[in-house]
Amino acid sequence: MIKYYWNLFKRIAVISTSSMLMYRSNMVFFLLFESFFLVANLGGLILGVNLAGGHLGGWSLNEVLFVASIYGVSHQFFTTFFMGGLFSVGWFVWSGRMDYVLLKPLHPLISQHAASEFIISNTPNLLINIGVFIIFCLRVSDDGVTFTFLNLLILAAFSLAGLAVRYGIALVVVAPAFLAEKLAGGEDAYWALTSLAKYPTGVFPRVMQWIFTFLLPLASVAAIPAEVFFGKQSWTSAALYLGSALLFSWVAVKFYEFSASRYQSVNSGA
Amino acid sequence: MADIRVLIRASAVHFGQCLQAALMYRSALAIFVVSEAFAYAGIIAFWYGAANSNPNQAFYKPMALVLYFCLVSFHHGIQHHASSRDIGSDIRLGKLSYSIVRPFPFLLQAGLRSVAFTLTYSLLLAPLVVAAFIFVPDLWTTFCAGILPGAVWQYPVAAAIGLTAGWLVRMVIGVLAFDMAQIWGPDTCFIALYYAASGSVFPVDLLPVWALGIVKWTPMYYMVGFPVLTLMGRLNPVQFQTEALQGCVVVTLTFVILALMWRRGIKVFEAIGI
Repeated sequence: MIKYYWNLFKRIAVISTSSMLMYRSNMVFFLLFESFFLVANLGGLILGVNLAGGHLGGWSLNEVLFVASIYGVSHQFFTTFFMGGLFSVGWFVWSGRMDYVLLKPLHPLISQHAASEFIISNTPNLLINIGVFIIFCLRVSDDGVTFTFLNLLILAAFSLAGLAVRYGIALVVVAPAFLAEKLAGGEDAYWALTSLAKYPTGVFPRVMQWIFTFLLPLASVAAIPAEVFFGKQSWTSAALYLGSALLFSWVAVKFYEFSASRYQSVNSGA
Repeated sequence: MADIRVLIRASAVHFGQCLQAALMYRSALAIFVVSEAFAYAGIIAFWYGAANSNPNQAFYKPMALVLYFCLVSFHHGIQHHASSRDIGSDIRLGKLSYSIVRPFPFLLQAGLRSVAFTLTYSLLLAPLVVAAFIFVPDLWTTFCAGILPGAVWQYPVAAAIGLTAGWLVRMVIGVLAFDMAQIWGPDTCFIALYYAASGSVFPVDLLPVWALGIVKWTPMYYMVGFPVLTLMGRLNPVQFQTEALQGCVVVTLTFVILALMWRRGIKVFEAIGI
């Protein structure tokens, strides 16, 4: 079974690469776009922390930028491997192409990804953001943070849970497409919501902290992995946050499955 | 004269249809408004926290930042972000071929779509801004304390420059489709530059002087930052006049670029579509 899904993954990757290489200019534009976006994000955070006098909600500038760099890697990972499939759901439903996606003998989500492409042209940005993450690892290391194999493993585990939250949010905003004639706002909603995940949790008022931790666990994308890594969370709290992130992702998948089951194949595509 | 009457009548009908189409997609509107409200609530919390944790800084009081982002959310919301993609697909898919036989110019249709979008979203978002003024303590007081006597005429000028700049620059990106298989790449680059230079995700006047000097020569600054700073009274009359003049130059240059690109593009347009 695992071999089957691995072959499926390789097949999508090969098709995506050959398709994307036809549009080589995409790679250049993607690189420019994401570079400007990265500069704008980091620049905005630097301006904010400077306005706050060098520390914000108990976080130093380097720690804030470390959170932003985790956010950046997660963002690029999502963009490269999941965005193409998930954000074409609305168009697939509207155009009726979803018919043959749902006919495949696969889970509707896997079938959706198999019918779409990875954004291979985004790979340079993924690498750049991994580079930025390493730079901020070195900077917080200079500030006295200790890196061990164990805490890096924990950071990776929590960051993966954060990626699952990203995926869940995307599902929640695209799934209503099954219930409408045409729904085009899902993608914009995803970007608007996830843009909040780059901030440390402590900058938000308590009500928003609670919402972003348990209801819409955006804090799990970058802030909580960093907090656990820096030892700012107890193990009990960390386990609770991990549980809430995974629960949210599971509920999102169920919501998508429910919405897909309501698909009527009657959309006009006009 | 008859041509002008046809043009005005057709424009009015087209404008009405755009308004109707925008209001048909109520679920998309609801998702947009809710997610943008969430996003701006987070941005406001971040910047409020930043200003609040440093009582020594006097550049932005915490409530002034709340006001800034309330006004920014409105000005960002009324931008017709999809217009470049619409124009690009009209050109690439061949829709332009039948649009050019209509009795009014293709770009006028695109312009009217954007005006209709802006008007629709102004009507939808204005009550939210009013609600913010009513329910957020001290917001109205902060607004009244900052407003300058000239704002009554300065703000409409700033908003007009900003909206025109936004509509034109997106048309420029859209007509790139005459020479490209898709304009998705340039459009995303524009979005990134918009976020960096417009002041929609951070107060634009916090930028270093040299960076602010650069962004003032781009249309993005005029789309959000300029009208918001004008409305908040953060530009004195001399600054306003200088920037308004600079904005007019930027708008004119954008228009000239659009006209040149359109003239060249329509000559090579083959009406085949892909």
